[in-house]
Amino acid sequence: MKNKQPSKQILPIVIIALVSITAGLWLSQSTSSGKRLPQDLEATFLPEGKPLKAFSLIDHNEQTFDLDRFKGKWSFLFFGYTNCPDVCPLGMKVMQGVWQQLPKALLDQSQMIFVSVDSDRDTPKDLKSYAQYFHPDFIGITGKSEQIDILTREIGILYGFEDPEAGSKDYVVNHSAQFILIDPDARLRAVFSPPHEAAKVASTFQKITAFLGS
Amino acid sequence: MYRFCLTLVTFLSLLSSVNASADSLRIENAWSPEAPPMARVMAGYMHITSNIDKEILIEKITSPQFKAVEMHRTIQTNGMAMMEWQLHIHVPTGKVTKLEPGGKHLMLIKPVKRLKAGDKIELNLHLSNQKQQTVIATVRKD
Repeated sequence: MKNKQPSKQILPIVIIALVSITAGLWLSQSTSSGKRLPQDLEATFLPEGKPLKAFSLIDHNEQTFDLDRFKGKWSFLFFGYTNCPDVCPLGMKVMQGVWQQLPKALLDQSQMIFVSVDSDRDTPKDLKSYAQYFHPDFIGITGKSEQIDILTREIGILYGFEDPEAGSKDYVVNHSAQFILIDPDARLRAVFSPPHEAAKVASTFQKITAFLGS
Repeated sequence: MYRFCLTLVTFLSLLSSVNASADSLRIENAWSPEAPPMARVMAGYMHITSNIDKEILIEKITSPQFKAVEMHRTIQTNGMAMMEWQLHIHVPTGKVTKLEPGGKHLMLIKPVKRLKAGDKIELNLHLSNQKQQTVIATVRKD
């Protein structure tokens, strides 16, 4: 009976294949700069960021809120309306929890912005009361729908108004409930989809900022 | 004679409590998150258990502290959170029906006055068995 020896031609091929697979897996976890992407993120992360188009809204102090207001700060955005009974207070409560967990150094370079898509009913005064109820540093903004739409289209936020019942001026607004993260260069960086947990959002935010070197 | 009366009173008390739970809902953890000062709506949540031997619907809810109360369900569809108006809340026998954040909830519309943590909200549930049941929900900060 002959002893079968492994072919000497097969072994190098196997080694090359293993090295290629390993390199491929490593590269898929790295950016173009070679840095490894952070793991276990509770968000969709854009390693290169997406620049945003110019828009013009107003904040709760009736000051202009545009792209320049994103520069130099990390910004969390949450879209909704103050007549929202469930999703919006829930989301704002989570953001309140996130703010309570962030280190001061990161808080000093961050801002949280509630964007009302219901400018017909939500006045700047309403937004100030609403946003600052959850945290004194939170900002409320709104504006003309065409300006809101510039921002929502850029970051993939959807919203729509239901018709009020006959004889009523009350209506429901359906809207995306994601948290949006904008970097200090006014680029879209991450999308956090619900359901949200404050600890996970805070942790993911810190991983992202550490990765990008902020 | 005394023992007989005591036994009879005890039995009748037990009987009445059994009857009370046989045709009413058990409501637990009824609460409403405190809302910002200018809020025109609040949410209401609770856990409802029915030991009634037939299916019960909560057909309407009223409150002296709000202009209107509606029943809704939050659903996530096509990337949006939508509030689906509910004609009634279905309470099956023997199961817990939960009204919770992000799911089924009450929309408490236009409070008569601002309610703060610790305040109580009276909610009158109008049931499909023609009965009415009052629930007291507590406003909570968290």
